[in-house]
Amino acid sequence: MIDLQLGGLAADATDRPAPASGWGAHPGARLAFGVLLLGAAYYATGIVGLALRLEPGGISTIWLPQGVILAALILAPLRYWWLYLAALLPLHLHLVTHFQGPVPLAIMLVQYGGNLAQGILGALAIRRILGAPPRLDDLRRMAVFLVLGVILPVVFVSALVAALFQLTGFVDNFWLTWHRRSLAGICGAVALTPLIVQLAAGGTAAIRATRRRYLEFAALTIGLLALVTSALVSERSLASQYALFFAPLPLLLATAVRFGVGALSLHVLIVALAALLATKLGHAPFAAASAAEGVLSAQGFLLSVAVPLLLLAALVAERNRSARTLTERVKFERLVSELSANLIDPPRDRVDEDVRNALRRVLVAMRLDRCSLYRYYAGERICRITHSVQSPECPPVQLEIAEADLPWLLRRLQAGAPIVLNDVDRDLPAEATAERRYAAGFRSRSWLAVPITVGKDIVGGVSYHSMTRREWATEIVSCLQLLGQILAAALTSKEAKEALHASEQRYREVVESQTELVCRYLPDTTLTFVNEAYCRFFGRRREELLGRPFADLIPESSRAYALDHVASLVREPRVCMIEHEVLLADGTVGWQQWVDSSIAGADGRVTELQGIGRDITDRKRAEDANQRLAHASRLAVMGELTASIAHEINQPLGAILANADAADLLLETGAGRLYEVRRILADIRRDDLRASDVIQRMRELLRKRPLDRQPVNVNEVTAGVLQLLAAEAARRGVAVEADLAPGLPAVHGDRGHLQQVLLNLLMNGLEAMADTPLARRRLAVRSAQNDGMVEVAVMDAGHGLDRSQRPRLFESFFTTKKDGMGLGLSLARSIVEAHGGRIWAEDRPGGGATFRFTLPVEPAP
Amino acid sequence: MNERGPIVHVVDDDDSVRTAVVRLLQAAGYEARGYASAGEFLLGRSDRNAPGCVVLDVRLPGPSGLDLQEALARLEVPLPIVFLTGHGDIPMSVRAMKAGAVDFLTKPVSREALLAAVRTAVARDADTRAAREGLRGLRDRYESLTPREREVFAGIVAGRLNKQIAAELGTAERTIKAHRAHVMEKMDVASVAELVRIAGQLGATKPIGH
Repeated sequence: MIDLQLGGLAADATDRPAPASGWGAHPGARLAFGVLLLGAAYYATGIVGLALRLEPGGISTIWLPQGVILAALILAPLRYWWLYLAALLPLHLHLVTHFQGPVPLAIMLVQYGGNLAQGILGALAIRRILGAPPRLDDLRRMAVFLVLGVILPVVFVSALVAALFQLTGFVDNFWLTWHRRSLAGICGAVALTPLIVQLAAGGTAAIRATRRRYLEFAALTIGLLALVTSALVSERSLASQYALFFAPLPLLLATAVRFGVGALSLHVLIVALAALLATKLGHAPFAAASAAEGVLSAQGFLLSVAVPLLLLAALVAERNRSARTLTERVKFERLVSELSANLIDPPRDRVDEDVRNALRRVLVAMRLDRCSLYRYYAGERICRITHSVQSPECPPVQLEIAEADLPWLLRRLQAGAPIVLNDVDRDLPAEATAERRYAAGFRSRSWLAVPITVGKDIVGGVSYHSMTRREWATEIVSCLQLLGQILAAALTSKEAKEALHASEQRYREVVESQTELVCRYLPDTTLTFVNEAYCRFFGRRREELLGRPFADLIPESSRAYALDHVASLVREPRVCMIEHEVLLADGTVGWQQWVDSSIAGADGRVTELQGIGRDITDRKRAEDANQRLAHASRLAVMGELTASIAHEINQPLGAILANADAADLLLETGAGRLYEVRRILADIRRDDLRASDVIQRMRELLRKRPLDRQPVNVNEVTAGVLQLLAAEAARRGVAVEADLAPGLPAVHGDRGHLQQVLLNLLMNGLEAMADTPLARRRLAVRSAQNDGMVEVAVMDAGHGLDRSQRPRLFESFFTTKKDGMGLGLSLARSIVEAHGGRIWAEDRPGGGATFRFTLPVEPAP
Repeated sequence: MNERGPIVHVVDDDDSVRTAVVRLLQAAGYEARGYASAGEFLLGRSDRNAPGCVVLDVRLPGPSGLDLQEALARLEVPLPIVFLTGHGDIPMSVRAMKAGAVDFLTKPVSREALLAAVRTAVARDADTRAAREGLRGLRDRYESLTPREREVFAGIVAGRLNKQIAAELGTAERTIKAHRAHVMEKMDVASVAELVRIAGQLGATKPIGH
């Protein structure tokens, strides 16, 4: 079959790529070729037409050139018509002159003009209504073609021509001329034009689609030819002649239904020629009384067969096409919805692969040559292709396209509507030169670009390319748009997931690399989250800890305390600190300090609690040891003071008893006056309180207490301790001097502990003077303010400090006393330092030692 | 010397104790005075030569109670001491008793114990004074002896016969007899045994011959 590439015709076979090079691409060459081809066709068909004349000099029974002209005018661009028609004129004249005999030039011209007019009118109507090139593959179009393109123009113009002839006397029978001319023209057009037009539009694709179809068509054609040939050549009986002529009808029907308009028109042509030839030769079934009648019946037969069958073929083609389109669309939609389902929530690491798969499946399903997903970066004004699939013949894609490269395209994309270019050359506007070059460079013939929006912003799009021309139907475009959105959604979701994952990782690392313990738990203390440090601290794996109450990790004695704390947090959501014991991994008991906060749910009730904790076991143990040390030391010192203490108590007790006895005696002897007895009772009360005061002070000293910071007046404390020690000092014969600066600011400290320090220092001073001559035994206490600190100095006149022992003076268990515990000074030091002060010892120049300590002043409120 | 009741001196630096004890003693019928320190007692007008006793705390500012005990012992008529202390230990009490205290009591003290001790002290003081008084009388009488009579006294007390004494002194026996009668009369004794006793009391250790 001939592949028509008529010059100047911008239609190419849909399964042939546009020629990239060669003379076929050159428009001038194509034009020349087209003219030649037209001329040849006209001439050839003209000969056939003339050969099928009824009688020499008569009108042809089937004027095929009419079909050629009509086809040519339908297919050629308007601007070239003059060229073709002008070129055909000499041919026509030549034809007629040579084959028809002498005919006046005017007549020839009129006839030619008439033919032309018919062609022009018909072509104009067809081009106007059906577009150019027209597709005759649906009923409406075929009907329009036949009626408005062929029949009406021919009939109308023939009437004019016949009238003209009649008027000029060339012919005498208007009706005869008219109907002969009309029928000839109509038959010629009907037989040939659809063939040419279909060939130009679709080529032989439909027929050559599969080998089977090819064979089928070949069989039909051969069968047809055989039938008509045998009908033509052999002399049979009338009945068999008829049969042989009507036998092709089923074949024609089959062709119409199976192979469409183009194939049918070929077969129609064959039948037409055969019928007319048979008539000319006088064969039945059309041979009748007169040749003219025979021709008429043949023409009638032809038209009555051709026209309905053409319409039928068009209808079938239309229906097939609809069905096919529908099937394809359904298939495509199913594909898209399947892809969408796959892409709804793909695993993060499979998204890119899934996207590429989706594009590939679309590529294959729609027989495209490239599908690319690109990302538009508004800031940099660049499109970057992120995923692309293509068929093997397609050249590789350029990955980055700046706005400067394809300005028109990017502008249109930003408008947000899909860019549909069924044919890149034709559909791109003139200014889009860069785009044209780009498409040509990638051999892209048909191009569809579907933008992807997120909200109102264009974030990218999907670009579909085909190296052959194709129509992008609207539904397909919206399906692809949907697909594009889904791809974008999948990728966005992946990016979001990655960002989330990275963020989670970061936070996880922060939490896990903490040295502090972090945990989350429910109000019943069931652990819902523990960090690495927590697991390490308790020496358990995460799985062993989660889902269990952390109350199990607390020794029983402290459990209630901790649970109470949690309960109070649940009742009153706040941030709160607690210290409590815990069971360590090695089975011993440690201490932890926790800062807990409550997390309330939407309804305001506490659903979960979070704790940040740290191990304070060492600190607690040190504190504990310190306290025990203090206690022991206190007891030790207290032991030494028992004598003095007893004395302190016995004084008021003695006074009370004496007073009571005195009162009793007075009352007994009747010598007392009542007022005197009342005075006695008052004194008794006072002494009683004095006694309990002393006991209180001693209990304070003896009690094991944690550091309780209050503002403390150092002078007061010193005076109290001096009073306690007064008896002892007197017993040792030591004179005690106190020089306490008045107006001394308060220090921020623990009264009991400071008493302890003074007690220790003063006792040490007293003991140091055991071997000092009586007269020189002096113990002095001085308090002063120095540099924002309160300084207290205890000076004795004892044996002083041994240089070798000086460094170890404040160490625990270091003592120079025969039966001392060595705790007094180390305790004093830890107390003073815990208050933020300093303690040190100096030698006195005159003999003895001075112990000084400083305490920071209470900061002003 | 005017005869008054015994004065009980209460020396204690603790005001309430001192007041209460003074009260108690006064309620019991004694005249009692309080002093806050040994110094106050020794240096002020305190009638410490009058009969009475001292109720004394050990712990005092300045000299302690034991020091005061020492000081009082050097007085002509040392007052007896009852110690009343807030705390005591055995060494302290032993020392006090060895130095002659009447008693060593600890506070709080029951009134029976205190009054009993004071009674004993006052009685001892009276006895001491009476004894001293007696001794003075003896001394006066001894002073009234002439030197020759004192020699005879010494000889009689030594158990010598008149004859021996006469020989030692170089006088006649009859003279000695006369002296002997004078001595007996001046010393107001009826027997040699009494004279010996008096001599012992006086502690006369003058050797014969001077």
